Amino acid sequence: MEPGLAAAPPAGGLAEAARLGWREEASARSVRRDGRRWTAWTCWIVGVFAVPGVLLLAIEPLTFPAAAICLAHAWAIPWLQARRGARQVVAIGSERSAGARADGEAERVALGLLGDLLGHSERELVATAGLAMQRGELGVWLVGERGALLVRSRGRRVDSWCVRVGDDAGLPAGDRVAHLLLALREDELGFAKVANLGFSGASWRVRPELEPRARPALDAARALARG
Amino acid sequence: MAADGSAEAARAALDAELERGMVAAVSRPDGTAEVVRELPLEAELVVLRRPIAGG
Repeated sequence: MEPGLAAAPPAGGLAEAARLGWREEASARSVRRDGRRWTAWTCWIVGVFAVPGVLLLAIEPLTFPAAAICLAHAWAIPWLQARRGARQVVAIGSERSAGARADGEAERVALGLLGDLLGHSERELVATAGLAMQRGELGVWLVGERGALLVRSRGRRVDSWCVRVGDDAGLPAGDRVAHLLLALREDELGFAKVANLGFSGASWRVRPELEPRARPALDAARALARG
Repeated sequence: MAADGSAEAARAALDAELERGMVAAVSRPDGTAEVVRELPLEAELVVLRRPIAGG
């Protein structure tokens, strides 16, 4: 099957999303709004710590140690958030991959089945970067064993979603990605409703925090998002 | 008759998986997938997946 513009919601939608009646329906608008909230929050954190740091230096240069602590917080908190967002996604073959501790034959079979769901270039990307790329209405998705990245705004912004297979005990790494990918294809907005948004910010903040082998997947997704 | 028997066996197998909580989907040519509750005999491939959850 050729992966196309995926995840037009089917009539029934994602069953898992339907069970979350208390949760707001996801939409392109809600995703954009949450991204803006993340940006506002990040600006607030930087301001809250950077402004006092600069003021302290301006008023009394001898307060440099305290100012340095303030400025370090202004840098470290957004950095930690971006790092957490990047690490929510587990790529096949990474240190945290289920494949690192699973039966090799089962892993090979699972990767073969996953490959059958993907087009040629996406299959190559899974082999090299461990993430499955899927274009959707919201942007370009990179699906891992756990977690998914959504690259949007022409590749400038990355949303990190915490999502997993409900009962993944004993499931090979390739199968974990395949189950998430199939759910995404069934109903993209339902997928976004079930998943928890863990981070949203500029892609240049996320890329350095990804495992080196996963970075080409982000580059490919950004290129696809730019069109 | 043999074909009918195979179809019945496939339906029973699918029903058993759905009872276990699996979700069955048929891939469309445009890359999307459609959830099915009954075995579509015309489909080339029906894929079963486990339910997902937020992390």
